Amino acid sequence: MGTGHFSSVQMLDGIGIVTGTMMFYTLINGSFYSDPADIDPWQDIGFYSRSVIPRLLGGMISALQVVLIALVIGFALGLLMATFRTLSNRPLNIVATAYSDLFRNTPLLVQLTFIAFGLPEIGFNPPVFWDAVIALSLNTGAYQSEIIRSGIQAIPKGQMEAARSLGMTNTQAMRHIILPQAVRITIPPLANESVNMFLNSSLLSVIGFMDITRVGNIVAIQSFLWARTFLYVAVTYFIITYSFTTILRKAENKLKIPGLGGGEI
Amino acid sequence: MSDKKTLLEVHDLHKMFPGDIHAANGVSFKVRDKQVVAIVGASGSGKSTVLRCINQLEKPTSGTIIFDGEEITKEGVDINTVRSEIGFVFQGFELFPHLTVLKNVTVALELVKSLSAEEAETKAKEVIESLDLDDKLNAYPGELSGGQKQRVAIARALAMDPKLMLFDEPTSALDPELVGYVLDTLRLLANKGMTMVVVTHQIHFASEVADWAIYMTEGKVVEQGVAKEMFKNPKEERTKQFLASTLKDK
Ligand SMILES: Nc1ncnc2c1ncn2[C@@H]1O[C@H](COP(=O)(O)OP(=O)(O)OP(=O)(O)O)[C@@H](O)[C@H]1O
Ligand SMILES: [Mg+2]
Repeated sequence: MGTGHFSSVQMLDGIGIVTGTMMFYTLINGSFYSDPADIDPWQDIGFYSRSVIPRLLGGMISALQVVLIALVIGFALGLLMATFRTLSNRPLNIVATAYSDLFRNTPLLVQLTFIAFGLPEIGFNPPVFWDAVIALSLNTGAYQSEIIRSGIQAIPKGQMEAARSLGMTNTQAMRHIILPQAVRITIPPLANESVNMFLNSSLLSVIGFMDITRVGNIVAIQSFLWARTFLYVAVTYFIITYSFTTILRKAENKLKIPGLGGGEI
Repeated sequence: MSDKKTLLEVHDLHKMFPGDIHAANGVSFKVRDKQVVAIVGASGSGKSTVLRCINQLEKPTSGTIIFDGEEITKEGVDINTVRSEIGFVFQGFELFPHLTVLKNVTVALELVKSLSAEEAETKAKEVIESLDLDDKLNAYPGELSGGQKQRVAIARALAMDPKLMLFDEPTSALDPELVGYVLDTLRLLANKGMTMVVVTHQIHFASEVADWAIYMTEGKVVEQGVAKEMFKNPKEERTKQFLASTLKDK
């Protein structure tokens, strides 16, 4: 050390200590660079909470709106595409397969960027809210179609035969016998997909949509309180997601039909 | 017997499956009104295939099937209407597990027969009661014993007022102590004059209830005749062997 040269191990140690200390101070005081002389209103936890929490809640509500609309559209799309894939009709089958493969084999972030920033180039430029809805619907629709399709395939062949033997048309049998069972056994994976969608909605911040993550970013940039802010952000996601799964698990147990299983949520 | 009208005529029925499997190889027989026909034969001899070709759950490769005076194997026949007049009971029951017993019976009445919800319910309850299942109306299939499930499956088919009932080994998936319970139901139907084709391994039951018997091997009818005579004095050597081995097992 006398020569002024650090070994790489010492250097790593040093970096570790410095960042560790910074993180510690950040957690305790809000900011490492806090100067007692400088009266920063953000340092007042009461002021912080009063100004940040409503903004985070606003971001959460926007995100939930987009996600819920996308989940509903995605479910309809998923049902339709999954049904197409069980038909013997070639063109419909190809369309449905191509759609699901395309959206499940490319990153959501790329899909979002393409729709929000790429499509305006060809004159398609809706408000960012609808960019978000379109991108998330198409993405979750692809995953949901896959989930529902495997649900349909899990229904024994005899169910369709029994329905047809009573004189039902293929469409009637699908609608009243096969799909209700398929959807019921796919509740756990669909719940899982819904949670994923909500968590992935944090990517919407990239296209300028005011979701929780973007609100958190803005607050943190203004206040320099990254740890505290993103702790709030994380807790917000956690509360929503966790209560959703808990409620759904309870509802599923209550609605359980004897002998008709689904997995654990 | 022969003065009665022919309800079903299967003529030179062939069914090929991929892999050169000739599951039905020129099967012909007739079912007259109010008759009970039993089909027996070893596993894989094509009994289910013949039954499933009748209501075209399998499409026959060739041959004609005439049901109630109409050739139903012709192009352009509305198969759904035909199927609504032919009840089918599966070995594995195939009840709809997401529907209650009552709904299992009403669903096709509403969708296929276009009855109103109340009409369907009245009709369904009547049939369910006649099979002694009234205490199970609101149960789900998952809550029933195998014998009860099969009775519900029979009720579901019966509620459509079919002209013909097809049974594919209706007791094979049941615990031995429940077999009699379902066979009683079949006896009841036979006594009421329901026309039925029953694939079964229950030779005693078949010789008691059936009017006509058909013995199949390898997709072909080896022998057919008046049930009591055929089971007592089979003419063909293969029928003798089959009956001897089947009755010995029991
Ligand atoms: N969907 C199918 N695809 C291919 N082969 C089939 C199919 N269904 C039946 N087979 C074959 O056709 C033949 C006759 O089968 P089938 O089920 O009609 O016999 P079965 O007499 O009903 O037998 P079991 O008493 O075991 O029910 C068998 O060799 C069977 O493997
Ligand atoms: Mg069979």
